[in-house]
Amino acid sequence: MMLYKFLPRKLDLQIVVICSILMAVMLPVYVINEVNHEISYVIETKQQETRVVAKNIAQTSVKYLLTRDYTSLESLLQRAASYPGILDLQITDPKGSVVSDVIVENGVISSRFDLQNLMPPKNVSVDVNQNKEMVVWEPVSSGSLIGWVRLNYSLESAYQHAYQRMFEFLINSGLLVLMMIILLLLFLRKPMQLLGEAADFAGNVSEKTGSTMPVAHQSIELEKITSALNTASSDLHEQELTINKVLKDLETQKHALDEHSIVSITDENGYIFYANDKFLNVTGYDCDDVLGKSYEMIKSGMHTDGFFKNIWDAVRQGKIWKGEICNLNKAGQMIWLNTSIIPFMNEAGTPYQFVEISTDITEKKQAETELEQKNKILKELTEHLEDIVQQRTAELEKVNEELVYLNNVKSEFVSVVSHELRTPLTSIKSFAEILHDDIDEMDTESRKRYLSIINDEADRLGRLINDVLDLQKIDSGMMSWNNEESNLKDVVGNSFNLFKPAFDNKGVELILNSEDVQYDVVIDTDRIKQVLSNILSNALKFTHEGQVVIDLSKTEDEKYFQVAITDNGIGIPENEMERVFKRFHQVDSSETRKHGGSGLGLNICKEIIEHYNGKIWVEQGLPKGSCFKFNIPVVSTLGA
Amino acid sequence: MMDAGKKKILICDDEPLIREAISYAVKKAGHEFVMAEDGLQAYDMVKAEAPDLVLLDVGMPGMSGFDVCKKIREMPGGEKYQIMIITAFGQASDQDKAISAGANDYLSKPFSPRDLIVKLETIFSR
Repeated sequence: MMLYKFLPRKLDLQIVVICSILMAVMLPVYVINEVNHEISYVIETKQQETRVVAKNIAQTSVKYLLTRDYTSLESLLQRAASYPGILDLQITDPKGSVVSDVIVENGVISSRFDLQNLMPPKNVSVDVNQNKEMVVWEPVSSGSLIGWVRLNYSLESAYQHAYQRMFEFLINSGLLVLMMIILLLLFLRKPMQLLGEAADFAGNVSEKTGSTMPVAHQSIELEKITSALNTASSDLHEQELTINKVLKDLETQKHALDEHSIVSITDENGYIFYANDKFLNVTGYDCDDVLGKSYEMIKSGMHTDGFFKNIWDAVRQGKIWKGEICNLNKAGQMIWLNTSIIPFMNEAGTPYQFVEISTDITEKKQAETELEQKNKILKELTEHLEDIVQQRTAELEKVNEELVYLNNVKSEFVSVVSHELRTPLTSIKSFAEILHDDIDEMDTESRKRYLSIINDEADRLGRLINDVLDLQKIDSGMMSWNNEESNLKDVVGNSFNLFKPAFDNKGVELILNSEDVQYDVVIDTDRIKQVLSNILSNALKFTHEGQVVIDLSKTEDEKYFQVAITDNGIGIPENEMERVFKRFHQVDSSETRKHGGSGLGLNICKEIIEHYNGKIWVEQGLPKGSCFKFNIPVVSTLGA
Repeated sequence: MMDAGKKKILICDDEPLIREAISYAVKKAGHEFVMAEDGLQAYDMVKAEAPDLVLLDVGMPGMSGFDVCKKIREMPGGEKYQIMIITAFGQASDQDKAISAGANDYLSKPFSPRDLIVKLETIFSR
């Protein structure tokens, strides 16, 4: 490559220079090779010539040596020395002692008499020394070795001849090279011109796509180049048209995308280098505000670091990420974007930019949030409504049950009242008829007894009617309450005294226990007596042995006086203890009930006690039976 | 008053005064009577006394008149007894209940002894 630094810029000149250099290098080598070859040839030729000469001398000198005719021998040598190129010529005996010696100096042949001993070889030899001299030893034989011919031959003329040839060759070669260069330049001129035109054409083909140049037919290569350039120009033109169309489409698509979507592009580090108008409109930033910045500037804080890490992890792996991101605009308002992030990957498989295409879904999100809130409210309302409905349903069911119960109770009440009315009425009617029909036949006792029955049964009817009327008065608020400051102990004592004979008659002991305290109350004593009478009547009715105890006391908090009447009767089941105070209720309310009663008495008691803000209830008696208790508030004066 | 012959009548009512009034009228009408205070006793006495007619009050302890009536009808030969139900509950459905239970007749309280005897004689004359 370094070579090109020293070469001319033009290709034809480069070819010429390179050819010249090659010639300059190759020609001397060739010449030297030729000269050497020539010299070798000359030397070989001279060797053959000198050997022939030496051999002739040796053959001729045999007889002179045998005859010791040294003069002829010298004459022979002098004649032989006239052969061009011989420098000196000797004949020796077999041991190398010179017999005859002739020398040639400056073209003059003379004999030399400072005979010396030489060192002949064992066989024929031809040596060339550094002085460009060739020494030939040729044996002289006559059946046996009788001497040696030594011939020293100068190769100077041969060398000069060779050098002369080399010089001529060089001159000729130089001229040939020069001519070749000129011819080369002439031959290359046209192709180089065409090549230049092709180069110019290629250089301008991007500007003049679709244009063509004449196809050069001067050479296959040029033809191929120009044809290829024309094809390339044509292809380039078509590609340009395609690219222009694609670009136009892309521009249209980009325009459409920009019109619809928020588009921004970041580099591999997440720094924005493109943001479309819609991005700027939605975020409220100027182009200068966002270019070169990251999305950190519009982060809302709504998402966790893990959220963004997931996004980066996905897009850096070349995956498209899609999702909803909440950002902040310049005014600090939240903007929700439905976003796709598309990574653009380079050949190495790593992303070099990310295109973010988003749609503003803020209004949708707000609507969703509102809808969610409304749904939540609706759900709560629905749940609340369901609760209310359930509650109301439960209440209605309870009311319905109550109504059913009341209906049954009322129906039962009609039966019970009917029974209670019809039974004494039957007695009254029957005994009245008996008296009417048979009064004359019966004795006085019977008459009295039947009249007494009629009277008692009429009283029984009267009590029932009173109970019903009392309840009617209580319900309608027409009950008269003759409240007065009273002593509860006196009221209880009065009832005790009233019932004591009846209990005694039944053989049941009635006991009154009372704490020694003041029992001042404000009550209608007749009503409280009515309560006591009701409970004691029941106790008398159900107790057949043992005792019935009345306990009068003050509650621990001293707010109430308490009356407890414990009987020894059949008792009341646990599950009936509340219901016995309900109107028209009897524990044994079936047709099989054992004991008469309207089922109104205890309900009247409850109404009376509650009228005085007291409480009445029943507990299990000990060891058996029932214990009815009621509290009356401690009120000392009417005004209290 | 028809002479239907002397009959044995079982009077069953938990009210002693009613029992007394009925027994007075039955005796006066020339019939025999036995008395029971509750349904269970009445059932036993039906088996023991084999009365011609059973007068059953409905509202009684232990077993109602309807139940006693059913039990009598269910016992072997129970269908031969004449049974009259007496009730003081005054419900229109009582008559249906009485017939369903197998009673021959039904009488509602309050009634007079005379009403009862007329009913009894009607039954005996059937």
